[in-house]
Amino acid sequence: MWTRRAFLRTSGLSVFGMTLGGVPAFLTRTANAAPAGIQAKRPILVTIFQRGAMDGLMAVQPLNDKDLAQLRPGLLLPPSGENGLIQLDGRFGIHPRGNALADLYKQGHLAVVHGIGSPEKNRSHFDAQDYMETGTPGVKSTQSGWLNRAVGLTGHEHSAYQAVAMTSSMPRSLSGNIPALAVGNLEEFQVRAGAGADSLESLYAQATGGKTGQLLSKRGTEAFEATKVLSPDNIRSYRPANGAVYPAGVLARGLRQVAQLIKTEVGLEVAFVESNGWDTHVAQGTAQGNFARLFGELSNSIAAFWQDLGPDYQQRVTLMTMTEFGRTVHQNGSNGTDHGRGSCMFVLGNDVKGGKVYGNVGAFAKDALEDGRDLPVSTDFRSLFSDVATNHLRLSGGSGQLFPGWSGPSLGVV
Amino acid sequence: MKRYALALFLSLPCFAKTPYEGANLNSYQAAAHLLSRFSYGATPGQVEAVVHQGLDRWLEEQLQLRADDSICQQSLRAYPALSMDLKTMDQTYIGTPQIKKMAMDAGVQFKDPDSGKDRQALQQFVRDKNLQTERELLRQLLAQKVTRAVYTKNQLQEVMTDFWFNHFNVSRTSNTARPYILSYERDVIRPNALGDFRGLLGATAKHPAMLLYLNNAQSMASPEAPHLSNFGARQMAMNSKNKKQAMGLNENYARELMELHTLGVDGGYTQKDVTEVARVLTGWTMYSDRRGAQRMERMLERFPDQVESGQNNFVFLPFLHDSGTKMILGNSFPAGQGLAEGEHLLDLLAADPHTANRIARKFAIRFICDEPDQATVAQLARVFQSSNGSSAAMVKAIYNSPAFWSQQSLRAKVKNPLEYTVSSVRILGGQLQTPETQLPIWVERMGQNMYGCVPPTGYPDRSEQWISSGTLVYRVNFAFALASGKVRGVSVPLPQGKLEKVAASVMPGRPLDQALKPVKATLNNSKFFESVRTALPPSEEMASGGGGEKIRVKSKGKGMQPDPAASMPTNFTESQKVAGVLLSCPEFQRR
Repeated sequence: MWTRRAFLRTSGLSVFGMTLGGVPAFLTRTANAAPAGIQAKRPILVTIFQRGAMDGLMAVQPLNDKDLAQLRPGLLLPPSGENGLIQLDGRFGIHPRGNALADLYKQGHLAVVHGIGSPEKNRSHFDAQDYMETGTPGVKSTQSGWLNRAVGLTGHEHSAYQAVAMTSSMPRSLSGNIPALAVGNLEEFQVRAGAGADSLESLYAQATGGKTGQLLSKRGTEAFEATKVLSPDNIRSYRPANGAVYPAGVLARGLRQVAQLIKTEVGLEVAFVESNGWDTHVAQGTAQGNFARLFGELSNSIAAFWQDLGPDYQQRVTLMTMTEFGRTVHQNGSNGTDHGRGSCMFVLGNDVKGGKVYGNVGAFAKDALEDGRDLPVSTDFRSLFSDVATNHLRLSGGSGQLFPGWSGPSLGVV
Repeated sequence: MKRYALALFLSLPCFAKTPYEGANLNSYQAAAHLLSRFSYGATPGQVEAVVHQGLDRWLEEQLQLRADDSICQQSLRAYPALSMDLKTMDQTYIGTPQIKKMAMDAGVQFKDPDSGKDRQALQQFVRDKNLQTERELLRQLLAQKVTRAVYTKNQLQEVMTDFWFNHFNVSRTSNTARPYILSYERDVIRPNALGDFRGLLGATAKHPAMLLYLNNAQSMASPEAPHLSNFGARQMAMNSKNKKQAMGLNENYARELMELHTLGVDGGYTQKDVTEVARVLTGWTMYSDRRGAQRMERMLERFPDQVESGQNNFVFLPFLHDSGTKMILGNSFPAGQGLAEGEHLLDLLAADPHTANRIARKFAIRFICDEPDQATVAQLARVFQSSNGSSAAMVKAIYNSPAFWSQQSLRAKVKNPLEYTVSSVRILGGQLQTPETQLPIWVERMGQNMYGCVPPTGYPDRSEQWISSGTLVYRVNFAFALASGKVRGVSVPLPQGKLEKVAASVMPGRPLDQALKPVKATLNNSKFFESVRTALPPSEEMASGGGGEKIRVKSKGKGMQPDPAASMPTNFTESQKVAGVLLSCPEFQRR
């Protein structure tokens, strides 16, 4: 248990824009005692939602498959060579722009789950994202997101940065009863009131009048507390550690800021970052092109994040990608792919049984495909999500609480 | 049109007593409460004016749309899309994929997306051909909403438009529905906002925005359906070259129609009912000027006698319709009734007591408090049923209900981001420089993606939805940005004078004694103002939640990049400080 006042006293000492011997303050922070009550060693789950539905078969493609070659001749990557796949196991290779992910795979920290998706046969982005984010395929009335429920199931007392979405509006995944922050860019999440933020805090602390007053008082206090914990100088002056170089883009910026939150020890337990643009109906490309650009950004962002964390923080962090569905096995009339079913997801962490492609990817003969067109969903996304969340975050309660109405098997990746 | 029904209710005898009698409110406080709920906030002096006019009269004027709205109409001329019909709009504002295709057809080469050259080439093409983009249409959609909210004298209509849009939500994150949302609000929601529920239900059911957002446009009888005797449909099924568009039902709309638009999730329907409703609505689709137009033309030519077309591109295509018998909620639908059976279905759903209860609860939550008592909801449900679902009657009933004036209701609602920003501008007597207003970006940053609520549920109407720590920070930043003239496209004259007087004008009719203590303390904290001046404006790009198109506000030179030193004054004036703190304070977040 911790009190807000104790936290402020502690955090006030170490977070504001000064540096000690050239090291940004938040880095020195970890050498200091963690703020009272914030459990420094708590595990952290970082999630990336790839909106638009990633073509899992281009990300991780079978090395040699005649049927596949016939169905998507314009999208096929050669099994080797400079512009070819990087072999993962005897059957699959990763897209050449995913070389950084391939390295993590070979180190045994990265697992691939293929043929994963929703049991609800649905090819609408909107429905499928919704089902995946609420964690209740086929049920639209679910109000809370599965990550919000996960935070609740940790049983930990709330703190300002416990659950953070690096998005300008709250994603469905983190919506719900448990308070969470949605901040598009931490550099902007500031009233920069410095010592003056106490004024705003007391302005809100004294809000009165029924439930509404209580709510305003509670959230206001949290908000201005949160802005005092980090200052934008800290955010901007951040130097990634261990030689990590983040690529440009919103995804990388989000992950970089998540890394900062982790190192600042502000009590982060669940983070959510978005990657957009995976709806590659047109000109998907192969080793170069739209998909390659997106996948390279994804791969390099994740790798930079991991490197930036360094061995100590890596112990506590597991990262997982999600995407609402896969894409058609065959290429369409404009060198792209249309909405499909199964895709693949990546899981990274020291407690991940990595270096392995999980899931069941069968033949690509037309009659083996779902509706004669798509990679069938052979793994319910909940078997992965519940595995990762329950085991990594050490949640109390069974999968039935995290995913109401579901009691499927855990995948055993973590 | 709906005026007859409206007139009936307005001609009820006037109230001898004030509706707030027994609520321990004076007329000023009552008028302030009324305006805080049935408008986007009072303008300077408006509370006094309503007291003078009489609360009953003000409400009647609002219900009958009698206010002179020429100023608002004048401002809306900045948005040409508002006066275009659907077809013109469709042809004028072009989506990115289509522009790309046009460019490729014209010989523009796209091969290097990594360098950003492709995007530049595309932008160059747009400039060369003087094209208008779908993004521009969206910008107008957002800007016209805040323009109306700030300026319209018919405030209640605008509030109800927002209420019903949220109830029959469609989202701009849907690529297909997006281009039709402006028409959806303009042609379907607003004209019916104070009308009857059945009219609204039917109009939403037939509009392309809804047909596409919830996929009924793509729903058709299964080719194997025993009752699909129609030769044309079999032909279509067999000829369909477009394999990705499988024949068959799409239950999406059918389910939401019952779950969200009418009965509610506990409305007593089953999965079988959902499927049967979907069958009834097969063939309810739209004529597209854009997508698949040729295919549609061919179909229309082949079956000219069978097609029934309506407003806003709605068509009923009998050859896609499952003409067999159906059974829904215990009502049997005989075979072969075509379009009429869908109308009959909507009649049934609109008249169901579950619907009355659901809509009554929504009204009570919107206008009374987050957790209205059951007796009030039941009373409103009776009004809904006896008035044929008249929104005007519902508003009047709320106005006349003791619950509305009770202590549980006063100041009990939290302003949503749109209400917060607009009420700030209104209470200061601010002006928008259309079409450059930056307000929509601020609203989004505070967590309300206008027209971009992804799920069909619409935004939950609960305080918790809007007051999170992240969004409160944006509210404070907005308050100071607005007060110091840094919200681009908005200018506000700041109130002068003593704090007590200014506070009373910004929050009319509120108990301010307690609220002012921390306000004073804050104003006396010089450190606070030294540091708060660096509050950042939102950056130019506005990411939308569900993968929709990004919106950019037209940039004229600098000023939108996060440049704290440049974007906030080094010193606030006294009146900027006062306005900033008052708009930041918790009391102003309430209505």
